[in-house]
Amino acid sequence: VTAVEPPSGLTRATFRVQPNKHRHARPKPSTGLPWALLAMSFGVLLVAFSFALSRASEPHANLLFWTGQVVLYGSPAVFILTRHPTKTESIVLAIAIPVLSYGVNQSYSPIQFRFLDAFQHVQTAQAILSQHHLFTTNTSLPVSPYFPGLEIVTSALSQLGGVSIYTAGTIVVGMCHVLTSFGIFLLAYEIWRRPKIAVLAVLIYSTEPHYQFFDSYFIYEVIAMPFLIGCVLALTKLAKASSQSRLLWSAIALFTAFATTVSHHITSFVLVGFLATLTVAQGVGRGENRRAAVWMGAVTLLTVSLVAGWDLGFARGALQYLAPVADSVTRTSSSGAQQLASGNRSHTSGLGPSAPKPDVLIDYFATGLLLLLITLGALWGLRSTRSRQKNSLRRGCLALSLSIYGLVLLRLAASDGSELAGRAYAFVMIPGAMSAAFAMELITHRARIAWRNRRRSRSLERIVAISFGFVTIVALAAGGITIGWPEYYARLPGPYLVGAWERSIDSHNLLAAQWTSTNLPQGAGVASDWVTGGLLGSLGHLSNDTDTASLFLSPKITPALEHVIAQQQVRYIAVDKRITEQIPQSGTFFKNDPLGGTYTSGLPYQFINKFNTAGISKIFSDGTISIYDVTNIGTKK
Amino acid sequence: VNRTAAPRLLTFLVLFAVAIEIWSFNKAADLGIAIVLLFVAPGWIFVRWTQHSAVMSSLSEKSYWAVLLSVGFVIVSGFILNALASLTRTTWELWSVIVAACVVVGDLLISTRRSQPHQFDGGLDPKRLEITRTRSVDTSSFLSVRNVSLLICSAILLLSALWLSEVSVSRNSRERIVQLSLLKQSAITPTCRLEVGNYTGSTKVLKAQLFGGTPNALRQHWTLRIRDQAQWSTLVSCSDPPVLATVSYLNVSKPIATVTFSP
Repeated sequence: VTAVEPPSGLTRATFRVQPNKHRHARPKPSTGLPWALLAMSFGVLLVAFSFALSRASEPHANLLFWTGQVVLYGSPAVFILTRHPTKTESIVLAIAIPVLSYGVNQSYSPIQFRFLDAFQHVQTAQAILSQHHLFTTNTSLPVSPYFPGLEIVTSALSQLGGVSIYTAGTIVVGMCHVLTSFGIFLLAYEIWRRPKIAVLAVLIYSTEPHYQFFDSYFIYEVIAMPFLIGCVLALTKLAKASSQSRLLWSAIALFTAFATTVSHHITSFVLVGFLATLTVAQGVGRGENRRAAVWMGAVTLLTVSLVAGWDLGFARGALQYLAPVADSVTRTSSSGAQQLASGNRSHTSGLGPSAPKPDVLIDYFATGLLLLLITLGALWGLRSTRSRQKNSLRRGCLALSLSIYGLVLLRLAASDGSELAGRAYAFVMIPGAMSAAFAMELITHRARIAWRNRRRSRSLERIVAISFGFVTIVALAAGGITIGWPEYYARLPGPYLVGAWERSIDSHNLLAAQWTSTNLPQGAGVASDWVTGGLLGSLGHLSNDTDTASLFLSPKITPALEHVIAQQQVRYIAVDKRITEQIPQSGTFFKNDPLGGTYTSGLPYQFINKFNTAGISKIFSDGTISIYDVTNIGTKK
Repeated sequence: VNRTAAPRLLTFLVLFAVAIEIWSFNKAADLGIAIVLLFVAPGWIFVRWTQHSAVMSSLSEKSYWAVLLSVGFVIVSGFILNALASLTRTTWELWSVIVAACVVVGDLLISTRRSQPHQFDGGLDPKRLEITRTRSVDTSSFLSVRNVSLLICSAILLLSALWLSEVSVSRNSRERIVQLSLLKQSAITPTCRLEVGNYTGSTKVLKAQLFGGTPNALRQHWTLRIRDQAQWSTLVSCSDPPVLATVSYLNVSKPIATVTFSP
């Protein structure tokens, strides 16, 4: 028996530790967890306070925001790496991390959704509540009704609980957020059998760029994530189960695979990849491993047919929806790779050319640190499990974690790689967080052994461990925040900004969308800037076309513009006059904006004033947003 | 007796919950009961059923699977209800009654199976006994007065953060908006609907004006007193285009918004 138990996967012979005098004494439960939870809650309060300051346009909000985040992430890191958390403590922390991070999310926008994509799913939920059936039409995201997992659960809670879509959606998303994190805890515990590594994996996963916001929005991926993790967990249980329990775990795995498939397309593709890799890893073993691999293979094959059947058969729109994304990745990756090779690429960070310099530096440091941790974890883990048949799942998990390299390449090569990679982080970091957690635990453990063998001071050892854990987790979290969501210009809430995602949603465009949904024909074509157009397409139930930027980029209505109106079947043009007053924070005013990234000021006023002309009725105005009826121009052509 | 009392009590509570749900006397109770019925009950009976084979070792794991499988069950139920009937409140209530009935029947079946002799020597599964013992020691040492006080303080801090955000949003993020619209009512008759909406956060006195022919020819005007979140509308003739309407506060020379009808 050693004073410090070796991390899972390493032989005891590796260690030379002084024997523990109190070997039979039950370890005293650590008392640090409640203090860590208190500190984390204080961190959330600081962040909420920074949001309040930012809304009131007060100074120092940014400083307070970062202080709050450091406290939120640093305190659990210190607790985990300086104590030996029991399983109960680890479970409490694994639940507290998502709950408190959801607190940050809710503090940002406590009374309404603020993410554009969320309103697309609101439309599907509204359709279920009004038409009482699934698979309705969605004018903004046509594929959404074919993946109605989130909307079914939300509408059921809304109807039975008598609450609004917003309240029901907030509860459902919060629950999914907790289930995702706790599922990662159980999965890591199942694979490593050590609560410390499991809870550390949850903490590292919580530093993932989209964890606090994007993965807690009312979007379909959020409900699919817990089922993906549940399915992988069921598969790992299946691998270890007795022959009597295998059928049960296979059934659970298939059930959760079905729930994933009908909830989100990309998540179900990732699930297939995870299942296939783990099955292959298990199949490499012998004896009982092989027998389990047969069951796992059967589950994987059934999942593949389930996903193929749903996405190719029933929800055919999914492939049409995903094709442009895949095309964009291929196209921009090859051009980006050429730019990188020739040295013509203006930026190699995934943040884009306009990102603040400190953000870029933090991004580089955090990405490098994460790569290092995952690589070390994977290499040490694979080396130590090479001869162990029972660790085949761990091997598979560690191998999966190396997919982080693909993600980093995508970020560097593709022009819109930041967004794509940011979304992929949610998947890659499931095995990645486990690998990094293993590496962190191993580093602290080895350092502790080396320290004790040299008979150095225990208190100094503690300080070093605290510093290592604190700096590593805080650096990863800072990196996650800088490259994650919301973008730097909308990181703190506040007054309206043009083309700034969450900061571009306000009462003007929300009420305008509400007005169009009750007064204009559903599915009628509308052209606008990308935020207002997105809202009119989702909440407003209109059809927002992507190739209408040219309508706003000239001082006169020319025959060419009339042609665009007729060709794109635009019936209404919504103009937010603030596009003449501000530059777009994201670089673009419109979808497929030909001048995107080149704006140095708002658009000239005559570009939007041209619609105040004979033959065009201005049917709506609130002084800021005006909606014009251009049906006459469209039909004239 | 102790082993069966808790499940039976829970069964009773579920039935009680369904009754209250149907009665629907209180919104908060409705929501709480709906959460239990949708996100706990279906998975709970499944987990109870698997308890016999001891495939899920800890309470936390059982809770995880109970909630996850419940959510999955709701999704599957949504598809079934969509195919067989419709997704209305009534069908979901009927669904909740069926779930409750399954919980009762399942509980009875499980209890019957439990009463059969144990397969382990000495009457108890030593593995599960060890887990239970470790868990109780672990949990009891964690739940000291000081720790519980600190946990309560943490919850208070979190709630304070949410409260602060809500207050801050309602104070700073509210735009004062007055909407004006002029929509043609039909393709045949030259009639338009003029509508004014007040979203300023308080009752406002507004002046609406309608001009026809040329912008200077005032045809009609109204002084309106509109409550917050309310609209006022009227039908006006659009037979003499272009028609122009404005809305303003008391100073009509500074309109808040202008709309036109120009066929």
